[in-house]
Amino acid sequence: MSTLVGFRRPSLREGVTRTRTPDNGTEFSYLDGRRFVEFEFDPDRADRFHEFIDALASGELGASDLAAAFPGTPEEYAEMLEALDEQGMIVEAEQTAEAGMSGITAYATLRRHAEEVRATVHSPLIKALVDGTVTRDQLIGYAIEYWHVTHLCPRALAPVLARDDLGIEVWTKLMDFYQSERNHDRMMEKSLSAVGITRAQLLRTQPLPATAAVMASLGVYAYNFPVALIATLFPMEEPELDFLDLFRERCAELDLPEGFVKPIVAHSDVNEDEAHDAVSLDLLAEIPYLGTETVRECAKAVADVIEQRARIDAQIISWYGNGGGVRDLASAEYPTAAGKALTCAPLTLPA
Amino acid sequence: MTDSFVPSKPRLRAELRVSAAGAAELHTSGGVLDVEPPDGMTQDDFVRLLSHLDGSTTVETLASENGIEDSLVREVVAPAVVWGLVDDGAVPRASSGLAVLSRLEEVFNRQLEDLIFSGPFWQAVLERPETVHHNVFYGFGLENWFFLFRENEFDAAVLALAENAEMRAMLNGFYHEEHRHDDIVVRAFRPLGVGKDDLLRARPLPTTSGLIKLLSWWARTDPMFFLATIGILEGRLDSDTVGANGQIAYDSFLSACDRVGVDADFVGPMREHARVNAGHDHASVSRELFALVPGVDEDTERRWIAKTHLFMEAYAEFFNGILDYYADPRRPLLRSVEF
Repeated sequence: MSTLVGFRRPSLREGVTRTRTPDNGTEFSYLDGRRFVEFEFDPDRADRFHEFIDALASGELGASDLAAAFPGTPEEYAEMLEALDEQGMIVEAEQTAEAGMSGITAYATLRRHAEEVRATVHSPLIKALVDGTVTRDQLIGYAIEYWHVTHLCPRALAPVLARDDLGIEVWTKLMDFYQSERNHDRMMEKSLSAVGITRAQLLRTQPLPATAAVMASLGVYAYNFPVALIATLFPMEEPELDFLDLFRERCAELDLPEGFVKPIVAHSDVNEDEAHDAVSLDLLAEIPYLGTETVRECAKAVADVIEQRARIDAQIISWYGNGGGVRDLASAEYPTAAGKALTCAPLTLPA
Repeated sequence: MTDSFVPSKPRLRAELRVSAAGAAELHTSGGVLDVEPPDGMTQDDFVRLLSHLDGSTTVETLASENGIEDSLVREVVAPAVVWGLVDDGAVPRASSGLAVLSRLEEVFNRQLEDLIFSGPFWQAVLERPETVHHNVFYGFGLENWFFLFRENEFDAAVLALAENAEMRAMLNGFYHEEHRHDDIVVRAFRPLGVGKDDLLRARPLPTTSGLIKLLSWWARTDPMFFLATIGILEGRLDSDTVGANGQIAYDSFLSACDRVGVDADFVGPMREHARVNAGHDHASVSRELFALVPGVDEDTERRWIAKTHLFMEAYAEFFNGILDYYADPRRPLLRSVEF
């Protein structure tokens, strides 16, 4: 009976015909008689067997009630259902899906969960911007990490375009999103060239560990958990409240050129114009059903990205604030002090 | 911004309170949001509409009951959806995993009869095995070895299945049980003078590699569909048949081997592999996995039904390719890449 484990209402497949045999048994036939099986019954139990077969065919009894209605031993029950199943004659009649929700409800659930998580993390970068302790190097470091995000974005997203389990509407929107994210690194390169950092230099750099972790997460979701990729787009794309105004203000105070600030603001505007933070909702709204566990796994992914983003901010402060500089880790002598500051920075989680 | 995401039956997921001054406030565990009516809507109508977002009423009914246009309802609801404060009260349309698998099995059953057992390979093996050149039996073993040897290519792709921890654990167990099954079958080729080194230099028929690559692609791009095919790939046919030598034959192929006296040193390891698979009950792997799938939507089911036909075509070609190639004894048993 192992093959029917998990069946809630085993039933006879539609299209299986039943015929009484001359000796009051039953022949089951399927696929124009190419599959068949015949049962003989003890004469004193034959009527009850026929009643049982009617019950099986109706598909109305739950698995345990059906087993209880069988007029023989549990072994005989198993034998009979297995014989029918071997001929492909048994189906699951219970159509109702188990706990799950629409993509829109999943979005609302994830969004509310994100708010709760966001309230528990803090960003050392935002704090430094607010209290005015942020340094020139840290602001440039922010732009470098932002460059890594935009530079890695296409290859993080690309694997999802190979998936074939999302429906054409979702796939088409992901393709559009992928296209819209291309070449955004060029905007950041304009910004960084204003402070003397070239594309060639950037291509030799490594992102901070948290930046790498975020982009790796998106890339891995794109490969093997597309719904989580979709779910994590909103915490990635959502602008931090008041961030840009503060950023502009501090850049001006620290004499960073307009050529550095402008492209960063422009990129943020592009994301806003294209409503990038609504991409998650727009895509999830196309998904009619998601199981509860899948949504829970997505919620973990969303929470993780929020925490990783705060870690990026902490690492910008610790690395670029301790003389770490441009992270061309292969050619320069490794700045151990910055590395220690980076790797020993406390988590940005509540105490 | 489009409001195509406005649910059919909006349900407010925040507590609506009205301040002393009559302003609407949405309270959540995260804080309080002050909300205002859009242009052309009174504060009273706005509060009444919000209080009716109970998840049981459609946008159209909400509009007519409140004496306003549909578009105004959508205008109120859309931003709240974006904030995650309104979700969908409608029950999502989906069928249980096993009910959907049962419908896929209908296609498997039918195509097994229409394409596979009535195709040239199985007709020859089942109906007139004595007319089949022994190379065809060996070829079946060899092409099965190529399949088993490359099974890691598709099975490994679902080891990291992300959506469901229990399914992932089950798939890891399955992988473990399948590991090195190719080595069981390798022993079957000793009487042919074919060893592991020879096999490693050889390549499968295009009908075998086609099946392998399709499965590997699905395991990566539509993993749940791939999981639905495991049961049929691992299924043994005619499990109760007693072979000519009195042993349980395990499947129709082995019983045909027994009937025509194919070299026992070849048949032994093939039977051993069948016995190991039967012991693990691998034919019910898809059932066990789909019992853990909470639901499948209609579009997905339609796509799977279509792909099931494609899968069965490739599976039928796998068998028929064996007869087509190995029935001609002038062809080498192994197609080796030598340089």
